[in-house]
Amino acid sequence: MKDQNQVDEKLNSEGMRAISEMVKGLPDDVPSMSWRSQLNERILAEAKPKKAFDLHRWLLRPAIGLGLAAALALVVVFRPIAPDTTGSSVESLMIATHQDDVNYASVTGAGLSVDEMTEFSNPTPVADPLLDLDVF
Amino acid sequence: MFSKFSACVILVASAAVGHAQKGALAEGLPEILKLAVSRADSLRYTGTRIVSVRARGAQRDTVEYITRDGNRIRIDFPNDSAFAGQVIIEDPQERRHYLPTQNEVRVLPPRRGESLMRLVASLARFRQERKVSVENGSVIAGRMTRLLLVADRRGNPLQKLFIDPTTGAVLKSEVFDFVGTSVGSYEFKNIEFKDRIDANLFRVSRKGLRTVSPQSEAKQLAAKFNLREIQIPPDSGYRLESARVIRPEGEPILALMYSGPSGRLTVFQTKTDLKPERLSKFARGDIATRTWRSGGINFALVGPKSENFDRIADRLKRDLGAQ
Repeated sequence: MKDQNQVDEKLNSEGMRAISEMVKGLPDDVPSMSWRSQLNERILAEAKPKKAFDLHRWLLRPAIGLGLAAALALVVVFRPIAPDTTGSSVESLMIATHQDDVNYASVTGAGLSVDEMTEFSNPTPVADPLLDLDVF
Repeated sequence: MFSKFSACVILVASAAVGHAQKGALAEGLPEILKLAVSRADSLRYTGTRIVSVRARGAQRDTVEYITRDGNRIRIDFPNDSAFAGQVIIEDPQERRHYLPTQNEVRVLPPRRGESLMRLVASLARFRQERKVSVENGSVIAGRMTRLLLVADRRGNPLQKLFIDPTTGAVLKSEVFDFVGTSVGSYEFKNIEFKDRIDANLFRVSRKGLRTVSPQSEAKQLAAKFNLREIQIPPDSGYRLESARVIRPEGEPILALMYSGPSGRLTVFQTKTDLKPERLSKFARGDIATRTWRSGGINFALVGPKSENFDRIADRLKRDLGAQ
């Protein structure tokens, strides 16, 4: 109560009244319509990017997230199994071996077969025994 | 005496049947091919031919000196060749390959007539699926040739034969794979036709030679890799031509190659699991496949589709007591 009285006394002091009169005497500053209109336009312009940002935030981002999660799930669920190369190569090797044998036999006839070309190739040429005839 | 007489009768009968079969097969074929077939057993010449094959990613060219007297042929190799000193002599009964460094002779079934007769048989069997055309060929070994082109239904080349229209000699032959790439060929660089060839050229006499047969090799390989000793029964008309192990770095696969009346057959055996559907998927054209299992070993038969194929597969399975 005592504090309240002190505040009232200060507000009713000469200095404070003078300041109050001075403020009352200031002209009333009413904002013009054109300024208001400009302000509205600026607010609208600022609001649009915010809306686009929201769309990105609430739709695209979750969609990307869901897509990544789905892809991860697919990779985990349908994890590619290593192809059975052993099995497939054995069967294809058998057919290729047979087919090669048929093809090359058509060409080589009585001559060297492909296997013989590999297996019986002499590392060094065999000396021709007829060359020794020169000695006599 | 009786056995000699029987042998003569059988020989004459087989020759007659063979001749009749050739005639029947040759029906409807181009004249130039008929000429080549009819002269196949009577040509006499000496010549040099280059054999080229593209096998397992590598090109191999071999020079062969050919001496031919009808159905007998001798092949020698130049002194600078990797096969110098080796001699191949073939007659209608067998093919003998002399290997001086090993001092051995490898005895195999004859091969020479096989390719021409197989072509004729294939054309007769697959008349609807093969296109045969004849046109002027190039000059081979100094002689103008006629080109016989064998293609599939769509016109993709399968084989080319350059035939001398005067003598019927096949001076060049080329075989193509499924994508039209030449996989092998031979071409004469020179040829000289003769009236007479010295018969001594077809005899080789060398003491101490070790004789090796594909049967003995098959037996050794089967024992070495703990696989089964099997063979297509000789009365089927098929003869074992070679035995070898493929993919030796992994589980071994023993391959036995046979030649016979319906073409070439291969019998495989391995301890690796086999998938029949995969095997048949890889087989194209007229290739048939059959698989079975016996005693922990997987077997596969691969060869041309025919009644013979099924009979042989059934017989092998039965002999092995297969599942």
